[in-house]
Amino acid sequence: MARILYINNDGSGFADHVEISAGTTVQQLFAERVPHGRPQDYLIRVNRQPAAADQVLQEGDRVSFTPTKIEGATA
Amino acid sequence: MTPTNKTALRAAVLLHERLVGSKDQPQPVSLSEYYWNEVQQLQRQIVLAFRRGWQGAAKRLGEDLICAMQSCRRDLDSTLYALQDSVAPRSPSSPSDIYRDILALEDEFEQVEIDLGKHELCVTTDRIILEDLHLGDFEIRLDWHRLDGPFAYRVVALDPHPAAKNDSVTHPHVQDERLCEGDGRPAIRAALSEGRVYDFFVLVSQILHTYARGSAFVELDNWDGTPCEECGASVDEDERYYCHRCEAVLCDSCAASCEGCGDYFCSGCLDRCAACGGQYCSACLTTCRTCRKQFCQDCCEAGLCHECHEKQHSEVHEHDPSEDTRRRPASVPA
Repeated sequence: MARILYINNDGSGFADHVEISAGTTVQQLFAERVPHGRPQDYLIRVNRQPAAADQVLQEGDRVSFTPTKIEGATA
Repeated sequence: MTPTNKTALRAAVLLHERLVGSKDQPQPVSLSEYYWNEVQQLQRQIVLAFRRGWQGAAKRLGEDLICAMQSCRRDLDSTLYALQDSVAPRSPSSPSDIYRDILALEDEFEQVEIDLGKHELCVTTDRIILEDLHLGDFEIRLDWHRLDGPFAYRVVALDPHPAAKNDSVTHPHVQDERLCEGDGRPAIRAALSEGRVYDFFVLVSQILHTYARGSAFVELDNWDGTPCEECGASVDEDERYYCHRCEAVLCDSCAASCEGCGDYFCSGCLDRCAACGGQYCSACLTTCRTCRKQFCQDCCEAGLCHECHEKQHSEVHEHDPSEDTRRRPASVPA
């Protein structure tokens, strides 16, 4: 098991430490946490840097998913 | 450590102190009265315009009232969220996390500036283009002394291309340097309250790169307006008139209605009745068969203007009163 900081900037902006299985890749975490999303619709960062889909996550990593399209409004 | 990094480290420490310090301090609730006063003033003006029968003015004031009410609601919402944030539990980022956030911004944005004196952290976006409309670069300026307040940051257009109808709107979702966060609001508030400045700037940037049709201060279709073909003033889509004859785009002031049919025309497609001086379209004017001038229906009878009609009538009378009825001109349709 590994403990990472997982941030999902979709919706209410979840940010917390979570446990993941050893060897989990970025792609697997995305599929698990954002089951209805497409990776191309998100800025995916590991330790604030762009990451490859097959990058294996390490203990203490900071992973963030931010939608590329966020709709503003008038009020 | 480079000078830039020293500044970043100092900013991270100051920002963290601010986060931790503000967490335990109850924040005073401050509601601005500016927009509410504007709402009330516009409301009075609309009542007055209706009383005097100024329908056009009432319509325009109504549109201003919508903007003022939206601004008022935005102020209230901002204060509400700030208040909610101040009582919600949160885990502020550590100074080292904030420091790493600031350094990472340099990879994500064109430019990053730190102004310790103004307690501002500022990034510059790339050029924003929405549906082929170039809006230029924007600065996102975060004031870490206002993290708990409703206006923690400003969005400043560096090379503004504002909407034609309102130069304070520099982006469909930015007015008076304030971004209306829409769907991004909860995530932005969460990022700010926890000091995740990297996420904050990325979120704001993504909103700036997105156009939410139907939810904009000014829709992109109306951004540059359409020039009135008479005076050149920019005309918004819902305020446009079209000449009934040549289909020229006209503004409220330049569109004139025909006194006969009531349709709107440009000045080139209206003529004056040679007798009464009223403005009429070509379909509502008749050319007098004798003098060849144009007259409205009221000033023309059986294809002759009143003057020519009387003249002809008196000539016929003088020549042979008994043939008056036989020589009367045939009726000509209008």
